[in-house]
Amino acid sequence: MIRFLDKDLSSPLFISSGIVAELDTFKDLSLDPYGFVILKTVTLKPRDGNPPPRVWDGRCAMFNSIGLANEGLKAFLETTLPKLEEFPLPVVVSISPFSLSEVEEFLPLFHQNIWAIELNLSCPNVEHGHNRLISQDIEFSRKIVSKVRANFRGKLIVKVSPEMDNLPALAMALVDEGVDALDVANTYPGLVLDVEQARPIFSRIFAGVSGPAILPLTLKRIWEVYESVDVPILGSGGVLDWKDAISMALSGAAVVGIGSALYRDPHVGNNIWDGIKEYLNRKSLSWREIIGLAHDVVSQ
Amino acid sequence: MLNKTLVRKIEQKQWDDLAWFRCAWIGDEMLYPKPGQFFQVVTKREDVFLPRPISVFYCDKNGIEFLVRIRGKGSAAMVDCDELFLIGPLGNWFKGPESGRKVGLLAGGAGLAPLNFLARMCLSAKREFVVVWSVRVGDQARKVVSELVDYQIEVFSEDGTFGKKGNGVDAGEYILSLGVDRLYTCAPLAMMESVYSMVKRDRVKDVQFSLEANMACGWGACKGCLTEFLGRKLYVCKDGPIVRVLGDDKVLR
Ligand SMILES: Cc1cc2nc3c(=O)[nH]c(=O)nc-3n(C[C@H](O)[C@H](O)[C@H](O)COP(=O)(O)OP(=O)(O)OC[C@H]3O[C@@H](n4cnc5c(N)ncnc54)[C@H](O)[C@@H]3O)c2cc1C
Ligand SMILES: Cc1cc2nc3c(=O)[nH]c(=O)nc-3n(C[C@H](O)[C@H](O)[C@H](O)COP(=O)(O)O)c2cc1C
Ligand code: FES
Repeated sequence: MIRFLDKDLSSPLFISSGIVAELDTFKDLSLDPYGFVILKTVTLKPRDGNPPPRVWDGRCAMFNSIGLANEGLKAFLETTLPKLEEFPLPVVVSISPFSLSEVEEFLPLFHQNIWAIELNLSCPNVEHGHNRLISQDIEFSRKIVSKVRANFRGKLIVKVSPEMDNLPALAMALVDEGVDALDVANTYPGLVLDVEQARPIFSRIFAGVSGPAILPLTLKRIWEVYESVDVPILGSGGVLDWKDAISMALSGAAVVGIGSALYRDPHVGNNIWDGIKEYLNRKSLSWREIIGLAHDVVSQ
Repeated sequence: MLNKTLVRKIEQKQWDDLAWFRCAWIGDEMLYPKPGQFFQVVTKREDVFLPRPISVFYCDKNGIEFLVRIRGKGSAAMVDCDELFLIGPLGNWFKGPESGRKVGLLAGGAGLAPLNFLARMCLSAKREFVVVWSVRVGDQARKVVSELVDYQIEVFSEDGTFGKKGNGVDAGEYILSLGVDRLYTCAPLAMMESVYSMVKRDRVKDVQFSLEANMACGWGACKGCLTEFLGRKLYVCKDGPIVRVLGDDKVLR
């Protein structure tokens, strides 16, 4: 049993946001190896998302430019939320308000009985423009988080972009505002070009990079955040096998997200969970004991 | 629940950039895809991260066959590796053909794959059908036909080295001139779009197109395979790969 945000979970693994975009599609997977799932980010208005192509293979990585295609808050409240009661695992609802005024429109959701909300701040900052993400503006992130915190009594997770000038500073600011956990991190903005046509493959030019190639970059960020704040960390980015998951925990993640690896192997969670159990057994350690363990070794 | 099955190659043939291979089932694990369905194929090569969607060329209790055009690293890896993981079968499948219809199968390039499976089903169900295959290089097609095809097939090659000389449009006009009232087609998008205007003109009652798109998951999870076909947006892995156009021009899902 793993205790996380006041809940007993059967496993420290979770499915990251947007990897399985619709609730009904989770039934195609064995959910046994997971402790919980995070749903696709919901925005205030329904979004069609970006034009094709939306995905591209990289080297040990993939690119996506889905564009937060989702049903929007109203449909989510009416059709998805009622189904959560029958869902076999605890569920985190991910949201992306684009502005302070949009936060207010999420009130009907905040008043529901939800275990946890993940605030996805790796979305475009429409209020301050300039192609920046909300989490890249610490003061603005603070304001959004504080407004959500004031209105939502459940557990509040904030998911940050890995592309930050000063991630520890953001983490500390968010913890000051009362967030319960940090998800480190989202995809890395990257670029892939069509060399024949001499232009970017994706219509929005940059696309999110995920998959095994980003693991070391994510581990570094988890390490830094673990050093700067005391809230639990959700690790997300690049896990493909059990060693990756253990590395995340040793770096400081309390729970480990499985993402694009599910596209390569829908059963990947089972293998990772088996590997974790074998490792813990062999080392006579509990999951809790290995969270951040590598920091202790370094500071000795 | 999604299947992920390991299969082992037992036979492979390659003609320049086109390869065919047969894989054997391992143990008693066997799959039952329908013509038109596809698998997401993964190899052990770690530099190819995402699986690649590939239609079933043929499948029975002895094994499963694929016909693959080598385009980039994903298809090249499939041809190089002896073991493949198959996720699936995925997607919808061709409907029919009912008996008593005049059935045409129109393929372009590697689009022969799903239609070959359908043709073999028609053979065993004793349905009548015609197959027309449009290719760029006739010499390559001649080898494929002589080694893999056991039904009547009419080839149009752009270089005129095998069959009739002509392109996808010529192949389309030819099959429609035979008066088919059920058409199944899998070809490059541009060819299928021209075929669409022809079937509209000739009022062909039932046409089934097999579409392509870049995919990440292949099972409706990622929302990555959005495509626009005949003015409609659809997710190829979930709403397709087969889209059916009936008399009133409606895209059925
Ligand atoms: C449902 C379905 C069924 C299919 N069935 C079959 C089948 O049975 N047989 C078959 O052969 N195919 C089939 N396909 C198509 C097949 O999936 C693709 O050909 C395959 O995914 C290509 O992958 P790849 O890695 O080989 O090529 P990729 O590396 O993805 O490249 C694809 C093309 O883009 C070009 N390209 C790649 N990178 C760049 C770049 N940076 N700049 C410019 N150009 C670039 C390549 O040269 C190549 O022409 C099917 C597709 C779908 C959706
Ligand atoms: C297709 C796709 C869609 C995604 N959608 C979302 C999303 O809606 N909200 C979000 O917070 N993260 C989204 N992500 C990011 C993932 O949740 C995850 O943080 C990222 O992919 C890194 O983890 P990975 O390397 O394990 O995939 C998406 C990722 C992918 C590949
Ligand atoms: S490929 Fe993922 S939804 Fe179609």
